[in-house]
Amino acid sequence: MNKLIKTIYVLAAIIIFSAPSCTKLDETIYDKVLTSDFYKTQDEIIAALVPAYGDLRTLIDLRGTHSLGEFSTDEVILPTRGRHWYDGGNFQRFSEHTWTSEVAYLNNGWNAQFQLVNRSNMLIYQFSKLDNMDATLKESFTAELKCLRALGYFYLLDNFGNVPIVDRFDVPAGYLPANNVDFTTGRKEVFNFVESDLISNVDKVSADNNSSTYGRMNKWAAYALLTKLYINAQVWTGTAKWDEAITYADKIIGSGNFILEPNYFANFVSQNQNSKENIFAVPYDEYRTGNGWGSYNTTIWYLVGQHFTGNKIFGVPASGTSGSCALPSHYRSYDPKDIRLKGWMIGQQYNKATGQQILCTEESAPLPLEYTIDFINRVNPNDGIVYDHKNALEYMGARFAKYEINYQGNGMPNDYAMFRLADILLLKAEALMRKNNGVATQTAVDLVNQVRQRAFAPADYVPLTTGTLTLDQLLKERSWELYFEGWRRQDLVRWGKFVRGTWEFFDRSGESDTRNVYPIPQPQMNSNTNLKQNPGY
Amino acid sequence: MKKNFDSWVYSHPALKKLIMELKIAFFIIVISVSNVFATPTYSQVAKVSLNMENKSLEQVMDEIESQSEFYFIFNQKQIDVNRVVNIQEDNKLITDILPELFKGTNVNYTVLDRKILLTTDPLENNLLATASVTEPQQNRITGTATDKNGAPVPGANVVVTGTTQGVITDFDGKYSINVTPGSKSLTFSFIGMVPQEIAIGTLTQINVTMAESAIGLDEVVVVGYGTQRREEVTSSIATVVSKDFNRGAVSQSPLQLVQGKIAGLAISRASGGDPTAGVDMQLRGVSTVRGDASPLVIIDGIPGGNMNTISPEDIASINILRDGSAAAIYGTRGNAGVVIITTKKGTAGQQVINYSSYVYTERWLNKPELVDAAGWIQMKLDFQNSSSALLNSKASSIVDYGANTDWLDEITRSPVSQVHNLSISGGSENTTYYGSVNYRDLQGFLKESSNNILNGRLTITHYGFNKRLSVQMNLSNTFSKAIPVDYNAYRQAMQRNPTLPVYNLDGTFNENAGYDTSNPVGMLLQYDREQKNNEVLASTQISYEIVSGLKLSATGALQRSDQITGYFQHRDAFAAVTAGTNGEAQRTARERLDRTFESNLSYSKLFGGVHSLNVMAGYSYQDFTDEAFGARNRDFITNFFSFNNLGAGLQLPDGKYNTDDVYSNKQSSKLIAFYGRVNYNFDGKYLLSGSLRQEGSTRFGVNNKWGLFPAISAGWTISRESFMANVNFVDELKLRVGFGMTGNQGIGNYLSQQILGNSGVMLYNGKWIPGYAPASNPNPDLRWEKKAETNIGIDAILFNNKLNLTLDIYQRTTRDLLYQYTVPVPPNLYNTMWTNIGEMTNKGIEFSAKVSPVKTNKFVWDLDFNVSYNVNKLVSLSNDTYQTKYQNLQNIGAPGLNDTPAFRLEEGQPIGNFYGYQFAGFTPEGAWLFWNAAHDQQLTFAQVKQEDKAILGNGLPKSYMGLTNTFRYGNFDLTVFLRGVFGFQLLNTQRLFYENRVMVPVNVLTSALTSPVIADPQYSDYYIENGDFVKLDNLTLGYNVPFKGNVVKSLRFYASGQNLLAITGYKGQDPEIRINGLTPGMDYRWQYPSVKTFTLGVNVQF
Repeated sequence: MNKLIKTIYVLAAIIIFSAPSCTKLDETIYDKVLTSDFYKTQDEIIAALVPAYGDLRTLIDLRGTHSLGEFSTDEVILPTRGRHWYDGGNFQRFSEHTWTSEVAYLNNGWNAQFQLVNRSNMLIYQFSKLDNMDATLKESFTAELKCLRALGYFYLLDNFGNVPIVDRFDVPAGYLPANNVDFTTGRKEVFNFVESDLISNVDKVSADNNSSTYGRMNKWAAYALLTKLYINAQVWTGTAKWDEAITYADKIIGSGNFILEPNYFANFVSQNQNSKENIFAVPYDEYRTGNGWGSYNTTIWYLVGQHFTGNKIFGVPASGTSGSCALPSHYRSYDPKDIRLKGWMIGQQYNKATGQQILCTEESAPLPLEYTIDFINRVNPNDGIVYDHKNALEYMGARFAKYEINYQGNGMPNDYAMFRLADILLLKAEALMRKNNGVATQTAVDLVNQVRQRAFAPADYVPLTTGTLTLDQLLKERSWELYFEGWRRQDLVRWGKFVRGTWEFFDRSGESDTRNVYPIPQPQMNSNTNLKQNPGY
Repeated sequence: MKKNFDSWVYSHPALKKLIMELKIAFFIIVISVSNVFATPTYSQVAKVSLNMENKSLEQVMDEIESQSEFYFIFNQKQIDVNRVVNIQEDNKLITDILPELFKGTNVNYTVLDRKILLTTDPLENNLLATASVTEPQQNRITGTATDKNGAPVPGANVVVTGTTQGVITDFDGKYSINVTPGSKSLTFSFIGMVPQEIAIGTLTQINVTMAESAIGLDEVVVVGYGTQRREEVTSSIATVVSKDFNRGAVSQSPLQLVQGKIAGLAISRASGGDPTAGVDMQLRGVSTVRGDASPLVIIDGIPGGNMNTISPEDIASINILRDGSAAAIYGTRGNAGVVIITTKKGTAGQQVINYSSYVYTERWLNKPELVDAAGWIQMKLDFQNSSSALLNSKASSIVDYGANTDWLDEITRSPVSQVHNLSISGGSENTTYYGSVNYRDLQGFLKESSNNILNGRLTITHYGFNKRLSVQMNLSNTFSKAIPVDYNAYRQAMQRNPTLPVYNLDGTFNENAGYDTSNPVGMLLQYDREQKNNEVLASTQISYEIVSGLKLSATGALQRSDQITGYFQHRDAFAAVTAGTNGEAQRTARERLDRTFESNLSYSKLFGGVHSLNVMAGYSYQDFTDEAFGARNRDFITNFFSFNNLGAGLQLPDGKYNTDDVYSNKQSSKLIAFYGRVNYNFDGKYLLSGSLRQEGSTRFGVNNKWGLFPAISAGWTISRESFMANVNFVDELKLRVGFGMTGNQGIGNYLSQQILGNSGVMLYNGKWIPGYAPASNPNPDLRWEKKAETNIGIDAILFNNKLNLTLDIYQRTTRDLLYQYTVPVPPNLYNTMWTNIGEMTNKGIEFSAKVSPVKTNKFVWDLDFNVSYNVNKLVSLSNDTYQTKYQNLQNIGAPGLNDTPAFRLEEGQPIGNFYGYQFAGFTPEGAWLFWNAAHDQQLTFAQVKQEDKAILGNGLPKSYMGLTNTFRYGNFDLTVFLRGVFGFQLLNTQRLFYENRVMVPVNVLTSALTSPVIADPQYSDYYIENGDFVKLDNLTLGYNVPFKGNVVKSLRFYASGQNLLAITGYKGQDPEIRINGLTPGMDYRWQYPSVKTFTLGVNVQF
């Protein structure tokens, strides 16, 4: 028995004293990888670059940057329709220019834009620390990332103006970025930062324009960005830089790399990667990119605009959500013979498979679904109700279909055309005119006419002259050519017509300049005490 | 024992009766054993070592009592406690010691569980009273005291009421007492039994059946890593044993057994009658903002137990460690409360076979009243003739398709569910067993939904090496097959045009195009869903008593949960047709494995007769692994395979591959802890307990992995003070004060480290390549969320056990709240980060009372009442670096109210504030008017501004109440259980969306027809309603068949109704909804209907 007791004592001692030795608390990782274990091979290093380009798809998401560029303008509206699309009044506020710093899309835009900035900073830092990375690759990736960072700041400059400049990832602990206490000075500083970053890196990124650089920030994309930066220099810094805009536009135009596609819609078809006009596009794939509703390609091109029965109209798997449409005044501003107008759908809609008439299903059920240009009651035009952005009916408004709707899998394969030659041509024309006190030069006229000519059948084409091409005409030309491509707000601001501009439904003659930039989103103000809110908000 | 004190008392006869009872209590100086086992027969296990020379019998008995849980019951006049004895016994059973101790005396002893009854012959001399109270003419009354099973109750006091004249019953429960003529009644009392007073009248024989007291004086309370006698507990611990469990059907969670029974424990049946769902539980308010809000469940000593592994019928007791000082020993996961579940075990020598079964059906609790087909047609006419232009314009959208369908009837059924449970238990001196089989076939009220559960359980306890060693093995296995359904079927049924038919003439489901429209019957029938679980809990616990009082225990446990799910959307399901998927099949498999090793060493000793010390220290190791994979395919040419032949789908072979069509993942975490506890008490009067746990979790930053969780508590048994000796109505009075820290680690793994995960794709040189990016903002400073809690409580037992009161007041402060903060980018990688900031408090009061207003032989009325009140406040969510003054939460949803948050989480405010416009009225046209911020101006919707929003109410209940009435009359028993929840508001989204005629062409509630709203739905306090309710939650009538058979020992039938009636002003379906999370009080439109349940059951014991 004594022997047994001794054995027990020994066992007890083993249990008691062996157990505490099990005190290791390292995490075992299975389906992810520690940063320190990655970036060992060339493939792994290249994989690190991918998220920066993934961020571009977030950047242009409808529920963010793209909305900020369009729903507050004279082109596109997302009206409340019956019980749909009130959504906290956010879209009405965009249309009315009564947004507050709490509107979620502002925060989404800010987050996506700074995400690109920050991701670029992080990768630049990370690549700089890799000693096993090919030196040439390191240099070109770093330059590419600095240009991408500039793209993020370009949008921030446009939307929010005076934002913190953060050019590095290895900031001290507890660092909180601060913007300039003075809005004007701050915005100028951001402009200068973007400018110098682009200038010093544009020659380090690839000059190729082929499938190896498609979707990448190559030299031509950087030139386009510089052109768009300089054209806005006067608004953003108070100092015009028309010549610089012309210089970089010319680099693109003169390169011979890009032509206006003979067919306007070739830039927007589902396989638009073959467009010779698109300078910089964000590539999409119906299976690999974008998951469902929140992603850019399903929302803008298709779901938001089309009626709930859109799946039947186009013979595609997902329904629309009957949201955005053209402002009647935008639609009516076109020459009816303008080919580009076909990107706005009007009239009776039919089931693609059966040819049957499609009916309304909501507040106007069961009327035939006939998209109207104007916001009028088709059944009783004199019902005494004023229909506008607050109480539209499901059939009202022309619907966006510039991008070919060929939805499969998780979305559409059409690539997002961010920079197009047509835009650059019009920008160069604009710079020439503005240099010339707003009066068209023949070069400017020729540039605009290039773009304009494509939009008409030869018999319908009426060229502009130095007499008919006014700045106001150019603003219209830009709208007709670039509708719903995300640039309208920027253009209107440049023309001084974003605030106090009056168009259908909205008379804002008493509006203040405050609304020329958006407020810094409230969640950002809440989470960073170093931020100073934009003036007037 | 206090000899001098006793002598003094006996010279003061008035105190004798009180002393007799107090003495029993005084004798109970028991050491809590650090032992997670329930002990089958105490006297077969407990060992005592004595080495006493020339000691008085009194001292020896003291020593026995100090070493064990035994206590002696005897008559001072009969037993000579001053007799000098010599005794040497090493680790002997009490049955070996007693013959030695009383060898050669006339003392007889009987051991009954922990009671040792000492008597002398002859019986007639058993008088307490001395000759001075004996008078010439006396009537002799004799009789027997038995318990409810007919077993004799020896050692019970029989006293002439109001006098000191009394006797003690003998081994056979017999007594004989002389009473003076004119004596009115006899009082029978016994420890752990309800005292009874019986009128004498002309009776000469009085037999009494004594019922066990609901308030067992010798009740053992399960605490962290052990048990304690109830009167030694210094923390706030609530216990419900199986006989007090809620009756009737248990359809969702074992916690339903104690719903409404424990003050401070809020349990909400958040998912209506869904048999595949669980319940919401909250202890003392919201414990966290983003960490794990579910309690730590401990099953037979295994922390982190999965309640699905046990069937409700196998549960012997549920203990809730309410305050921090009780929970701190489990520290790290105790913030949301600790639930200790103890399962039933076998008893040596008693073979018991139990069979219980019940069958139940369900009906609507409140069926929403929707416009029917006739009303729909009438509504069209009304719209056409309406003076409202808006309604005129919508008349055309009200289409009559000719059918008359009650869609709510179409999706529901009268389910029949059945539960069977068979258990067998018993054993010999060294081995006991408990085995059971439980089968639950639960049919849901919504068509198709069901849950089918088979559980088997085996517990074997074995004692070896002269009872020094005990080994307990538990094996429990649950197989379940659940069919969950899509709650949106309910929403579609609510809003579907009542003139649409369910089926077309060709037998297919009638579908029509449009926004968010789908045939709800098709939504239930055209999807195959299956979730099969196999859950195992296996554990072995070994304990060895090295020397007397020193015990080493070790526990190993394995908990494994395997899950396989299947999903198939039929080819002809409306969504499949719309999406052109030709059917979609998915399978997933998941395995979770938790491994536990615990060891501890405990020592208990009584010093100097009054200093009782119990020390325990231990080590705990747990690891958790969770891995899963799944695959999905589409484009099937037949429905025939359902989800059983994924390869038959054409989409994947066609190369049309979505990034999430095939996946697998795996993660793991670890917890390691050292813990210890010291209990000290002086003479049962002053109680002190301190515990410490140091625990490390892999989840936290490298410098913050370890957290320290101390607790200290003290008790003062006031009733044992001499100044209380004259207070006759107080049986026990104890003051408790406790403080304890607990923690929360309930966040995801790997958040403190910089890890990379898949991140999108890019076109690189014309090829799509995958990317890798940091998966989140790493926070190397991530640390434990900690809660400090102070608790002050009073326990009182009054009026001869007739009234038991407990009052607790607490304040809990949670600091370093785990929260996903919005952080600036840059410098951070993502705009959210898990970090520790902020503070939240909960202050509250809990009161519970057990009363026995009537207790006679034939009729018993027991009343059990509890009420709690809690005030929550989010003190801060900011520090110098991170600021979150407020955050808007929970968009109400489409149509029209996306980006319309219903809640605001705000510093200085409680969780669950509704925030929005303040309703001010309607324009003559039926459009909305809202108040401006100053509340002096009515604004139209176009005019109202964001700044005009205000706090509209709060969805977090402040007060909970439970009232159980149990009546027993003869063989009948009746339970009436009322449960109330108070002090909260609900957002009635059902009214918001369906009590509005403008919502056509979707159907509306009949109340919409008279509603003044003629405008698109808007969120305001117009739809915020008081949620206060009282439910008749349980009504059970039972009948115990008086059986005298040899085979059947007892037989009981009962009928029960649950959730029968809700008394409330709330206009929605059921005010009992989700209470967890940051958005309590949101009554969603998609829900599982709430039901009332009708049950018939039988229990048989062989």
